[in-house]
Amino acid sequence: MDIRVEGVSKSFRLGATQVQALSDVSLLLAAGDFVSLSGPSGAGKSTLLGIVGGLEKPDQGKVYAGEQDLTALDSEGLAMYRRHSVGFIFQAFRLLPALTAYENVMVPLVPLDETDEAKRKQVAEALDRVNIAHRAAHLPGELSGGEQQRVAVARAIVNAPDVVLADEPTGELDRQNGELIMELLCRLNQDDTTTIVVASHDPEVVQAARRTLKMQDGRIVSEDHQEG
Amino acid sequence: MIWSYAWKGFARRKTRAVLAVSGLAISIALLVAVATISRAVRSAVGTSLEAVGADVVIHRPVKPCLFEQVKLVGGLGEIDGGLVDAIKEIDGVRNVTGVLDLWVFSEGKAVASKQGKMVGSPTVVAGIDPAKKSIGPVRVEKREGEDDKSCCAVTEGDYLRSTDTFKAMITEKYAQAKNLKVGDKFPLGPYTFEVVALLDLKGSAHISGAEAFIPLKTAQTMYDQRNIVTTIFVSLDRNSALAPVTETAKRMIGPEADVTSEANMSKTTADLAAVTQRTLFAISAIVLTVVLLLVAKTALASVAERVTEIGILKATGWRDGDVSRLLTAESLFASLFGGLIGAAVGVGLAFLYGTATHPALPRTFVSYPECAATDPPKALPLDATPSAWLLVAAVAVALLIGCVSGYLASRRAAKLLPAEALRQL
Repeated sequence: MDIRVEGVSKSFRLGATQVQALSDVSLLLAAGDFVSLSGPSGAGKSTLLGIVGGLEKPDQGKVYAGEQDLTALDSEGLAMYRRHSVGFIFQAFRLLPALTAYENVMVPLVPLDETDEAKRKQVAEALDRVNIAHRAAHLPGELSGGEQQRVAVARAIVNAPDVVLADEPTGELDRQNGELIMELLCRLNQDDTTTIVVASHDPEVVQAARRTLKMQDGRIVSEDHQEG
Repeated sequence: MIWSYAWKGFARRKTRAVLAVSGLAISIALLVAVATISRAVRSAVGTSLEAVGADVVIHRPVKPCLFEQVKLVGGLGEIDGGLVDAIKEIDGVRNVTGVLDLWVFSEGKAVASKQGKMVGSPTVVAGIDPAKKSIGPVRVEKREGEDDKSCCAVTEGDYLRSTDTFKAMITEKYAQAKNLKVGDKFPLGPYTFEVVALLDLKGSAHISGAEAFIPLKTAQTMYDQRNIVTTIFVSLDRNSALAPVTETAKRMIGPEADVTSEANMSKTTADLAAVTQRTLFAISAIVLTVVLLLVAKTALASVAERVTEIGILKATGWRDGDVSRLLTAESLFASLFGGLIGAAVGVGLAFLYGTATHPALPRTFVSYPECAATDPPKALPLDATPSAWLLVAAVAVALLIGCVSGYLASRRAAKLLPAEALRQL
């Protein structure tokens, strides 16, 4: 599923100040793409991820997921889009502390009208793919940072999304665990042709992507493609 | 699956769960206890009338007179037996009987001390109409269409017959105290009576309770030969007959006539209890309101505390309705446990109250003097067992509070935009 962003602008009110987070941004995320968004803090990377992921709507412009105009959807429609097409990975893992790793991965499936058996199978597969099945019964507080982020990746892919949006996925990990997470994302992109969009400051993360978009002041200021 | 997720969320946030559950439990416990005690006291008061099969009891209170061997029970005055016949004619009266309550001194006349107190130990005697077995102080037959709530049972011998004269039914307690059995003869004042039956008064106080029950005509003969009674028991087919009965009693006895029905008896007997009940009800209502506000505030606060969680749920495809169901389910778990625990604690409190409290009949209805040979059954039966519907209603109230707080939390959560929630990460 291609995602097209056309002339999108977004601003926020921050106290008394109006902050222009995105200004007339357009891009195409082709199905199976692996894109990194780089740039300083406040460049608009997270806002762009939020708009592509249907977490919010732009003030201006259009976003299409396939033929579907996301800007025309209501909150219910956007929720369904996120449910079936999008997986999110956050910087600080954001696992729910009262739930075990297994239950955290189950979260996106809880409201689905599938059998419990089918849901359990999906969760087991997702945990296997990130090599964390052996820690499934542990609470997040009992897991290392790397393990928590692997659980977060499993949660993001458990619904077999078309696109995974990762916001600083290695930001709180050491080098070794950061590499492990990027390996997982690469494999996901290669094996399932899942579109991956990663927002990061980390040059190694940026290098892992086939396509790098550099952002500044709410605009895409450059784009690089890597061979191979 | 949302319910199972909600249960995990509820059970694993122990502090929040304990706070929510205990607040509700306290208020529900108070409600259950107050409602149960109130019902028990009302029922106990009603029981004293049901026990004698009457809806109305008529007395004529007077100042007690001493110095007689056979005298009226202290505080009760003479009522012309014609009133019984007059009441019988009133439309809506089902049954009526007159009783002559006497104190009979078997060993010479009663004397008064210098302080005006009675000296000597009388036998408490009630003259009853042997034909009236379903109404009066020795009620052994149940009224048509009601459960058996009669006060007495003949445990040995036979009930008095209309043709009997100097025969008596005595309580088991009195028989034990005087070493009497059926067929024995014993003195009552200047007369000798034969025991024809032993009675079990079932341990609770009732109106015109006595140690010996003799035929009314004989009692009247012992007193002063006239057609006199001291207490009239009236049962009604419909409540509208109460007014003409009262009017007739006032007309024939005078304004001092004391006409007692369940309504004014409750007032006399349960005045203190009523005040206590009203106070407790007021406290419960206040507590419930405070709990409702607290639960609502906690629910809203919980949304504020869980912005991150709600943001993540919405980011992973939960719709507003899904989040709403989750919050409502959690709230319902808290209220269900609060309701169940509160109901159980309320039952316990009511039981403790019922065990520790012994409501008594007003003095007017107790024929026994302090110096009687046997102790009268004093306490009214207080059954502080809550009805099933009360427990169901209590849990329902708790669940209603849960629904309200769940609804408020859901509304707040629905307004939360996922991107805004996640920006707070």
